[in-house]
Amino acid sequence: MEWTGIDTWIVITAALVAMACAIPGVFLFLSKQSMFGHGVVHSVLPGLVIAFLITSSRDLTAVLIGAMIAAILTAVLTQLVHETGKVEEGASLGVVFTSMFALGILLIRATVDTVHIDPDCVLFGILETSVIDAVLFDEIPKVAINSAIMLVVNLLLAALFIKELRIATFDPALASAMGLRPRLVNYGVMISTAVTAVLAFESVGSILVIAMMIAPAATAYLLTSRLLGMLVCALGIAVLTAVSGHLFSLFVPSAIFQILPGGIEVDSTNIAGGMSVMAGILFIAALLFSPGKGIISKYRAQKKLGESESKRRDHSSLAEPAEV
Amino acid sequence: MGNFSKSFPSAVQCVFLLMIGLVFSVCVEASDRDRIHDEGPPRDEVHERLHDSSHQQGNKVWSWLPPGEKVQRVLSFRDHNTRVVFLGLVLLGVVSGITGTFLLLRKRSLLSDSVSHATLPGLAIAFIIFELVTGKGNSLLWLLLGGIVSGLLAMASVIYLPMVSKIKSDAALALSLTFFYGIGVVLLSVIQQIPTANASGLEYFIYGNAATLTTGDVRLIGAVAVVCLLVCLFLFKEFSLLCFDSGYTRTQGYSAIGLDAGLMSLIVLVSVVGLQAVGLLLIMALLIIPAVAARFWAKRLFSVLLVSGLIGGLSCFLGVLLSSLYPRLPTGAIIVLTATSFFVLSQCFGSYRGLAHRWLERRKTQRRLLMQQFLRRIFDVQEKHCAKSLHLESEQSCCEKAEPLDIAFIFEGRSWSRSRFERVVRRAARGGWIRLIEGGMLMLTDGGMRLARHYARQHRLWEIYLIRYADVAPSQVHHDVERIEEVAAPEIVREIENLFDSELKCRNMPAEPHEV
Repeated sequence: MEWTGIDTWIVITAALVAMACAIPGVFLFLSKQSMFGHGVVHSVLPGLVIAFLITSSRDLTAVLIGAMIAAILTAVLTQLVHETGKVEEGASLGVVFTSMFALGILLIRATVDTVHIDPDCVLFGILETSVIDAVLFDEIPKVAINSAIMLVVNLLLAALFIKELRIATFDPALASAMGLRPRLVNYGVMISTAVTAVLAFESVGSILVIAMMIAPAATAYLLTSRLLGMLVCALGIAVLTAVSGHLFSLFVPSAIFQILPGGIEVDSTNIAGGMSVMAGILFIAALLFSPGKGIISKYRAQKKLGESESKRRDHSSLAEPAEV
Repeated sequence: MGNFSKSFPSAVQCVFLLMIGLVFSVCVEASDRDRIHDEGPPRDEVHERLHDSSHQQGNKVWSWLPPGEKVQRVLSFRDHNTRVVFLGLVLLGVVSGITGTFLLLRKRSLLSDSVSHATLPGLAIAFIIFELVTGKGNSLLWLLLGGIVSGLLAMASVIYLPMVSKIKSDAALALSLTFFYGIGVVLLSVIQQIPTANASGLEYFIYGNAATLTTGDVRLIGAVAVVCLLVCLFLFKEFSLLCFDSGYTRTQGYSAIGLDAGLMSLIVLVSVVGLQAVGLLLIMALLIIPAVAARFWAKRLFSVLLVSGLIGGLSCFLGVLLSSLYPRLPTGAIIVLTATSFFVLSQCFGSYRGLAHRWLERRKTQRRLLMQQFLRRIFDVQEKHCAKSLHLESEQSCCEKAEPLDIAFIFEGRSWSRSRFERVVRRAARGGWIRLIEGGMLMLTDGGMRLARHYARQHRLWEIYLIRYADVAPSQVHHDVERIEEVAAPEIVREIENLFDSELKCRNMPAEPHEV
């Protein structure tokens, strides 16, 4: 349980992935589509399988194109079911992504059973093993470079379209009045979500992707009330989550199980899992202690208000004797 | 109506009781047959045994149709395992269809997703505790209990979070999903490090295989089905109240939170039991898709529940049938896709909200409006024509004798296209409202005259009302009227008639208030 070079790379990769995911995550969170990240991680499966069937290789561009098409299809179908059927949005997403995931599994089993695109693989992170695959100078892992590119692309996209994103997210009606096509902007966010998700869950596993799409954004939302502040804050929290999550998975479970009776010897645990737990813990901390929006500060403010109110009432009752 | 509403709850209860009776008898029968067949074969052999006939004839790759004897064998339920799988899945489909409807109505369909992911840490903790205490972690009952506890916790957090903070419910779903699942993943990796532990039971729990149900699973599903149906039976009124108007529920003295907790606990129960039997994906889909599909067929809650249960059961039945005929296909995915096809069918052809139904309704309305417009136009033209021939200025609207009119003249002055106009002429002739005369003329029949008069009258009443009371400029009225007329209930029309008695000149017919 010592900190090695691999640990450093794990943390760097995870931080890059987390930041890359946090950017579309903020916009998904603000437009109340948080579950879309979860849905799209599942619904890209048929896209991946079909891309694999056509090119018969795990070629990255083909996989990405497949994922993009599947993501657009998810978004369009969800919208279609929602609008034409008057089905609640969450339910329509549920219908679409379970169906597409089932289609993906069916395709895998019916055609490429010999090759391993395991649905389990999509659900569990293998951050530990993917970092070992180094390319540059025999040292920098391939996944770290991929994640860095992803992060830069997402940052550039967010910076270029910040005005469109802002208006389309906060006031879709105004956006369409200004000719900005809010739905197109939304599809853009969804495509970027899907591409980020596909690139990321190859390296860190889908649980971390879903966690990083939502938790930093939600935490940042509790800490600031400006869009730019929220983006910056989410990026910072993403890094913090990656670092603390790795430390958590290295030390916390083993410490806990040392204290507990039964004598289970636990070495380091699943890192992606540890990071999503830490993401949740950071969120809970923000929920409790955030200045202004936190539960405790709200409670204090209410108490203070109540006290001053009762004081005022006491004063006024002293000043004017109550009429009987 | 009063009688009906009184008798309604008892009818509901009867049907529910019937269903519960059915479930009981089916379960009893299943266990009876078990005694004859002894224990079923172990899980892994189930698939092979079920499909060994296909392996013998496996050379015919090109043949998509399964051999007839196999169809017969599956459909006759001669195999113990076929029976068990069919029974368990159909039961599960029905129950999750019914409970899923309540979930949909509470706008929480994706809660099933979060809850079923969130069972993982509970399962893992239960596993670890019993591994430590007894040395045998995968005891079904304790795992179930652990899963239910953590599922309930996740559910509570999803419902509680939007109440205490500004976090919206969709974000709460995603947050609790990742947090709980993250804990579960960490604990799983802990379990893998326990040297004595055999975690294969847990794998089954998460990715459960629908094709390998055991009689124990079926009994469990049956028990949950009975519990759910009984609770739905006794609390049907309360649950429906909660789903449609939770504020009103509170004013009626029910504890809305308690009812909600009860309802959601049922969902957690179904999720956890389904999860261990058929896996994450399938139970999620079964809780969401049938309920959404059923909404296209029925309006009343009770009918939606029935249809949803039916669709759930039917898609499980057909899915198992397909996957036992084509053994390469994964049962869970096939069932989900069967349910999806039911959903697509419902969305297109559903009798209440289906697209085809709505399209037909719209077309009917459009046709009716066009016909109204057409007849009104004839009436106006005829009126003018008549007044001119009689040199009447003031008493124009008293002239109501049908006479031949030029079709081309009727066509002019309105914004309809020629093809539409021709269609409406043909329809009017077929309906017996007008008679076509040689030389491009038409004439209203007696019935047509009455109808045209009715429409024109209604229309003019509205126009007068708008001009007098709604400060609408007379030149603008005509366009507005076309839309408002659709809204007008007969009572309102009657009211306006009374209001404008003074305008009604000849036999309840007001004059056209503006130039045509």
